[in-house]
Amino acid sequence: MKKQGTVNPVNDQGPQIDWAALEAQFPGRPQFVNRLLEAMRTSNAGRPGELRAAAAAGDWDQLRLIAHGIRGTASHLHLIALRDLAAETETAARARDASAQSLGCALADRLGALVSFLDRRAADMEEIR
Amino acid sequence: MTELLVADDEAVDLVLISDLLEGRDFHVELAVDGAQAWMLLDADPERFDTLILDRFMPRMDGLELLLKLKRDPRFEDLPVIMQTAAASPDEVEEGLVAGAWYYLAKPYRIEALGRIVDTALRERQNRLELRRLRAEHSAVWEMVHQGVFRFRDIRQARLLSAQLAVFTPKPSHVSMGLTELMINAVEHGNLGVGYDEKTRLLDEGIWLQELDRRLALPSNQDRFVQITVLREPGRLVFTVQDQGAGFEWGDYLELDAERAFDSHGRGIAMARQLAFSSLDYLGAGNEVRAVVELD
Repeated sequence: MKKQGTVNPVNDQGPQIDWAALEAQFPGRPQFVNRLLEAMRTSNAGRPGELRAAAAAGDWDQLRLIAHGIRGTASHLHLIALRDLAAETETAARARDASAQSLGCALADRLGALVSFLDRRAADMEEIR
Repeated sequence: MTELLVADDEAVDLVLISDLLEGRDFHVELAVDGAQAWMLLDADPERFDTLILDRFMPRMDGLELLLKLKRDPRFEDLPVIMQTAAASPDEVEEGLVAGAWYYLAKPYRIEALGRIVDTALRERQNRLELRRLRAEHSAVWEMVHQGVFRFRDIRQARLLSAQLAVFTPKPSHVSMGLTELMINAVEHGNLGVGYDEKTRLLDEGIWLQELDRRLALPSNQDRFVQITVLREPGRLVFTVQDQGAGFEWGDYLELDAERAFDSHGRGIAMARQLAFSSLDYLGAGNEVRAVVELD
């Protein structure tokens, strides 16, 4: 039985995710899309915290490295807003611009929201199984 | 068995690449950063047939590893595919100049990576064959003072470039460079295929057929490309001449980020950067001279 307030993995649009674009890229392969999102979820769970720590410490190299990784992954998964914010953060960190700090925190928030959504979705799917 | 090394710290990339290679006759070894990849390569330099490398990774990043490999003659014949979200003009140029065989920007279609891996593996086989030929024939080629060769099509160009490169110090690079110059001379020079036209022909998968069609036209039947090799003290001078009207060669001598992800258009710049100590187009562009230092 489905818990109230959880995310329906089929119908919920989720924050930021362009399901139509994913379907177009991997037609007829919903299980593979799930594998990709699961990889996204597990490999990014700690990154919001790492982003905030790097931003707080003014560690631009670390901020740039993390933002770059998010940018690439977000590109593959059509997470356009996340990709663009990661690119902006990466550019600012590379230029050692002070704006990298606030951008890094904004990126952490956006990524955190996505990971939370994917956590709920994973739990929901587990329950359906 | 064919072995690929994938160095990437991104889990999503690894899922994508593993999916692509699943069910194929490859063994795939994964490394989570450049340092781990280097350990695997250094332990057995002949083991891997192609390296798929992420640009930015912790500990040792992709560019640093690529530069390390390019300085080490043990890895001269290893094609490196760099895949990255770093696609600013400076970053693309940096990767290509460092010696990436192909620079793939994320997001890429997984089928595109598959085609590139297949081509890289063929390139690896060509390079190994060149190495074998060099070992076999270098004593004979050292006696050549001057040679003139004529060819008409790109299959002959590929065959000839491999043979001519055998007696240079870096045959795989010189073969790549000569191939680019010689194919340009056939397709753009003698057969008049334009840049945009080639893009379309490649996209439609009919490039070779179109070249064959044009070769068979009565107006082209007597056309040939001539390559001359001349040994001078300490160097070899290759001169390629076609019978076309020439082209705007100045636009193609440098790597242009605008064309970095086109299906073609980097050959002359790559040849200039990696294969030859100098490369000069003469006149209208239907004659090009490339120099290889022997010392």
